[in-house]
Amino acid sequence: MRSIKSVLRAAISAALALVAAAALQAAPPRFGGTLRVKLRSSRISLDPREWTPGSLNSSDSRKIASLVYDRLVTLNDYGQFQPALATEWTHDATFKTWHFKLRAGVHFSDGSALTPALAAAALQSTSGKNFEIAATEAGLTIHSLQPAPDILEQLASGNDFIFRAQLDGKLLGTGPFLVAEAVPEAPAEANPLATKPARIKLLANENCWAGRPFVDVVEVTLGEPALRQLLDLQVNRAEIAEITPDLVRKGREEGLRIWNSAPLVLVALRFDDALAAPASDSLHEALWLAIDRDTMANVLLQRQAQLAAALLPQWLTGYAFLFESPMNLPRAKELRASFPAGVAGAEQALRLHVDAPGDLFKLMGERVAVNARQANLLVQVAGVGSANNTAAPSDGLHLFAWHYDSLSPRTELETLLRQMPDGSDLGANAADPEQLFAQERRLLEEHRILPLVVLPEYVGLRANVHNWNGSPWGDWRLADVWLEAEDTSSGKAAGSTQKENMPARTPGANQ
Amino acid sequence: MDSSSEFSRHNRWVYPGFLGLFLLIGLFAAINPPRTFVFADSDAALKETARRLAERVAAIPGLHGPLRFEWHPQGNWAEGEGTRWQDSLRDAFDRRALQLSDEAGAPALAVYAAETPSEVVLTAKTHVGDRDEVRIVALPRSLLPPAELRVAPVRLKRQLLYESSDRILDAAWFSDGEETYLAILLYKNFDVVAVRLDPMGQIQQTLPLNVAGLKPTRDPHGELVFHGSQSSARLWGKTCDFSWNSAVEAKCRTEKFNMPGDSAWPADAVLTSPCGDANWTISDPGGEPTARAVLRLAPDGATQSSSATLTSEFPGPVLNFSPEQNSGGALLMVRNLSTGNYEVYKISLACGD
Amino acid sequence: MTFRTKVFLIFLITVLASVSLVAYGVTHYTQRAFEQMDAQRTQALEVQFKKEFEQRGEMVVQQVENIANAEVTLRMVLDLSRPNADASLYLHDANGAAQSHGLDFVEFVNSDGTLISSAQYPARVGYKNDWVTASKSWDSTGAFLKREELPDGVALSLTAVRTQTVGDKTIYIIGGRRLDKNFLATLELPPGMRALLYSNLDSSFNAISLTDANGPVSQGESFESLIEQIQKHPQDTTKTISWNNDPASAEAFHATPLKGRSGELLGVLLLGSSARELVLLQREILKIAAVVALAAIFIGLLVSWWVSRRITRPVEELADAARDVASGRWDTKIDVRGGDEIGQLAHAFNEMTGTLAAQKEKLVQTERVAAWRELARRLAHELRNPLFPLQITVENLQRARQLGPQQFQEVFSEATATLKAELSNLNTIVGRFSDFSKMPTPEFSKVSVNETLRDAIRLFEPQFTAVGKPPITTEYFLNESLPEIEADPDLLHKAFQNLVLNALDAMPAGGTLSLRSSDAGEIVRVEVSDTGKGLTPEECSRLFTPYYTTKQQGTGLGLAIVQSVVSDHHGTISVSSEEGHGTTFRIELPKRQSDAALKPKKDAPPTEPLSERAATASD
Repeated sequence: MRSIKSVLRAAISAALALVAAAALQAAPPRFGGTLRVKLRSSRISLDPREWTPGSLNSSDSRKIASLVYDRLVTLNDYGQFQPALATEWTHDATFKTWHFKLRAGVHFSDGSALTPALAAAALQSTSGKNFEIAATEAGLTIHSLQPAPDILEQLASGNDFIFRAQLDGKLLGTGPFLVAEAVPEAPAEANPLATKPARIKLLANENCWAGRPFVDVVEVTLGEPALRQLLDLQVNRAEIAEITPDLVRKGREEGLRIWNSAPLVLVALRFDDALAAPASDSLHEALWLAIDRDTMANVLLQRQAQLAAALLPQWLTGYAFLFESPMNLPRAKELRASFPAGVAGAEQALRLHVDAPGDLFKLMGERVAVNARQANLLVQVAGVGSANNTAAPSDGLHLFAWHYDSLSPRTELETLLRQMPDGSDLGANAADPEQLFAQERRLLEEHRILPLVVLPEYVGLRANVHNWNGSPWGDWRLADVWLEAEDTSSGKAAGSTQKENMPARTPGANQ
Repeated sequence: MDSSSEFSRHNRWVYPGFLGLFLLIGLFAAINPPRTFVFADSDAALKETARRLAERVAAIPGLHGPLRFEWHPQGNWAEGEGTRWQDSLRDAFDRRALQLSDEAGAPALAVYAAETPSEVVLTAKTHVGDRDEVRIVALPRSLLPPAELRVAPVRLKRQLLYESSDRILDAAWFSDGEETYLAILLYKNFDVVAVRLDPMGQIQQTLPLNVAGLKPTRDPHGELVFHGSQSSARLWGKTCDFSWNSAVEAKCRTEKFNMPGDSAWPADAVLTSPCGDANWTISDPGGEPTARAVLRLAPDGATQSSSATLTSEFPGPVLNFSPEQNSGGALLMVRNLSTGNYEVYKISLACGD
Repeated sequence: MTFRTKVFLIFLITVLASVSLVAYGVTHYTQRAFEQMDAQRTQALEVQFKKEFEQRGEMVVQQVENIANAEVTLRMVLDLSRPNADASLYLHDANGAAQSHGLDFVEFVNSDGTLISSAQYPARVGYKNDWVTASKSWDSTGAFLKREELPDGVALSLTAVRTQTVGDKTIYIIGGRRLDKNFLATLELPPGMRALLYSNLDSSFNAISLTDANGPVSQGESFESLIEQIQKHPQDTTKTISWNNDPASAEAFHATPLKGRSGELLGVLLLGSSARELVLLQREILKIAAVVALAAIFIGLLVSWWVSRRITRPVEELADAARDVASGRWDTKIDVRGGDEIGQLAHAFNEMTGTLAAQKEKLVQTERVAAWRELARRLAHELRNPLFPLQITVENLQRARQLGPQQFQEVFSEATATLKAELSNLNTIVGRFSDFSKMPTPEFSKVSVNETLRDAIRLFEPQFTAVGKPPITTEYFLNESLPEIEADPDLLHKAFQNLVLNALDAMPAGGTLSLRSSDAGEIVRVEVSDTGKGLTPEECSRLFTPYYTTKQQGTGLGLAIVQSVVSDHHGTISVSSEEGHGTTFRIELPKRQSDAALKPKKDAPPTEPLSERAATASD
């Protein structure tokens, strides 16, 4: 039972919100219209099983997939897990076994019903071997080998969508939109079943269990260059477009409406496994001490990024502030002076491979090289000066971008580590934040991964986009967005008026 | 249990989006405890968390009191929330026989509170011997009452109200009891003119003040003051009383009005967010009178000003600032460097992105 | 060596020498002219480069000033002059300025030296550029060379720095253009020349840093020593580089060091001029010289042939004619052409032969008359001797007819015996004359001279020791190793017989006969000496005249026969005598008869000149 105080508080806040909202926004939400979304990724996949953890590309895929598929639970901006396809959940005292009750009356886009077996199959295929997922009469049982108190965070993020794989490989979802058209970028490649379209057209799912979305159509165009996206917004060719951090200031100066998420992309350096010799430990540390993250975040990225001293961001762990950006050039030089001969970075330049696309990351790579030179460390950005990659890929340093996918810090760190060459694992009981902190500190002290900055995602929004409420962790929640009628395009406005008059469905209306 | 399903997007046209969320939050918080941590009330969860932290801190080997307690709350927490946490923590440390002190020389025990998407994370940090000791506990955010949650996204709204090729000295809202008007004081052809606009932005009245003995100046400035039906224009060296309704000429008297120089920016340049109780302070855009002014608004007490700051660039320098009475908005007088015109903007805060 | 050959050789040598001299001279002077031209060209190019460099520098300065005075820059300075100004706002400004002002490098540097914005190396933003703040006089400083750090290496830049001050705030604007192949491409080069730029940005020589207008130079490593030399001693240097074995591929490089503000060597400008033209021209000259030389030789041949014909033919004709004269054709005449020295010579020759012929004719007539007189005298003498007894006998017979028969018979028989004897005597005399006239043609065979000599002596041996006669001693000095010679043994025998007989006749009071044979190379010498009363020089000169004799009995044909035989054997005969001490006849015979001599012509001239007091056998 909740205290009266909290109930009261909730009521007050709701009432306040109501008053404020009514005063501010007189116009009712409008159904209809086409939401044009521009993404930078040139190809995305709507199959969660194909996504690469941490990849920027997959995060774009996830954004679109979340329009088509639903999750068992979602997290709102206030830290509360919301029932989605699961309506109730319980767990045992060890947090190893979780029971989820599945929402009744939910149908896939082809009309077939969502069954516990289908949901279990989908989850099993995306959540890997950490869980044993079994269908029960009314829901699912998820059994974890380790205590999993963060299972709700996991299910509310990452790849854990509920879908049904058809015989032809296509996936069906229960989400607010249906895939109407996927125009491939190029003729079908080796795997014709792979959906790698250049343009995706999504239609509103009239029968969505959570109600029809406001817009009729979402048109996603892929592979738009960054500046082009900005222009598209300005010339009304897009309602929503990704904005690269270096264009944010320009966009804002030009009066563009730009939303940003919490810092979602980690830019970091990692050493190749082969460098893990004792001699290179001091190299790692020297580089770690030589890098000037502050300038990187505040000048090169024009304050559109935050310097990162931790692998996981503050917004996700709450403890990242404990890690300090350790720049200490004199100490770095001292370490450099102690290098034995033959260590890469001393006489012979250490090759820095920029594994992330775009000029911004290249610029950061160059900045790393410049910083390193201050400590007499030779770092050369590969692919800039010399085309020949004669050096073995294992002798270098990589600048990579990592997109935080999971709302569970433990899962995120584990995934990050698993993608590293040595693929080390976290210890048990890492769900406890203190344990996780200890693990992360150990990892950072090993200097195998050197975090540089974290970047938020920036989204440019046209003025007619209403009720945009993207989550800090990058969920766009486009189903809740509605578009203001355009005065200029009377045809569209007329069409959308009809939709507006349509009775929206309530969840379970089909029952 | 399934009360959430009574919500549908269909209903939301009545309520704007954030409202729906607020209601969702409120109702879920009230009805649907998402986790199985069950406490008698939210304070119980808070106290339990404080207890766990204190327990862990107390277990740090070699830690002796008295310790100087430092509290570093999440940036956008309301003050009351922080106080509750502090009280609970002090209480919990007391129970663990950890002596706290306010002495500056005592070793610090810093407790940081941070919110993650689903949790509140409390971090205690202290220094023992030559090492830092860190203890961390977390509790689901959903166990805390929503009122203490951070403010909803806020954006700055900006509206051009009036534009003139003549120097705008001041602009202010006034009401005749029925309607609210915008009054504007212009310096036109070396005379001062008062203009009244209706809420639709149409000019209702143009009132030349014909101030006798007003010295022409290169630095005109003035202020509109309203006392009931009486309006006053405070000018350099003169103050004129006039009425919009009577044809009586303005009565001007010699009264020195000092427009403070560069510190003209009012200390109460504050906008209240409609999405919460937070006040947003507008910092002085400063700068040269030949540069475009960038207005910055930051929530009061914000520690991470860079991420929370709202900015808006104006086409020229801000010449004057006139806050609305309830801090709901403010009027800005701006010289447009592109057109050379003087402009009056209304700025206010709006919720949601 | 004939005169013609000599003339020809002299001519040839003269032509060759002059052609070579001319070819050498032309080549030498061309080379010098070329080198001079080359030096001038290089110098002009250097001047052009410097001018271009200065112009480019002025352009850069202008562009940097434009940036410095641009509105955005002024605004930037203004904004930065505010306290707590955010320099990161201008991160991309340098890039924009570089693009809009056509510069490769643009950087904005804050008053404290901090890099605000960099077009070429944005990653360096925030770092100090102390060299900029060190100078206070940038606005009066022109463009200079600078080593420009870039993310992918270093570049050479023509850089200018300007400042912009608003109020108390000053920022530095650094702009530059890359000194690379594009810069070189703007240099207008005469054909055969090229300009190379070495960016001296690495510690050691790096061939990639060497570019021409088309990019990195191939075989750049060939420049290593030149570049290293300049790195050690930065001053103008010239070096020739051969690209392959062909001398035409050689290129002379004039290297000028390019220095930065503090005198550091930042680059090397290499102006190369190809030797190809020079070498080709030299080859052309040599080719022409060779053709000229060949033509000269050919013409020389013709000319020398013609000249020698002009000069030597008359001389040869003269020689031939002289030879004809020598061989007895005294009337030989040659054509006289022109009045030059040769013509005069020919004319004199003709006069000489004319005189000779006339004298000879006179001499022959005289000789013939003398010979006939001698013959007549001899005949008269020879015939008178038997005729006188005949006359007496006939007169006795006529007187005897008056005598008795008996007496007559007696006289008659005595007279007939005398007539018979005298007639026989007459017959012998006539036979001897007849024999001389019928001297046979020699038939050569291998003959031992010593043997033939001994055979001839053996006939007379009985007379040497005959009772009642004064004894004659014989002495032999014969060279027994004498080879056989080609001769007619009968004629030789007859000749030796006559000589021995002659010697016996010369020693009526006895004496010593010496016989001597010796080998004298191609010839064999035979000497027959007596110890008689000797001959007067006058007798010696007439000795071999036919029918001349110093003896009371003798036809005078003996020595004439000897001379005739010797002559037929192509030998010579000479005589030396001292009055009262005897006479020596010396015969020299060739060991081999030439083919022509084997069939000797009667009119063949003697091959050996006559010695003093030796008469030449003649027909």
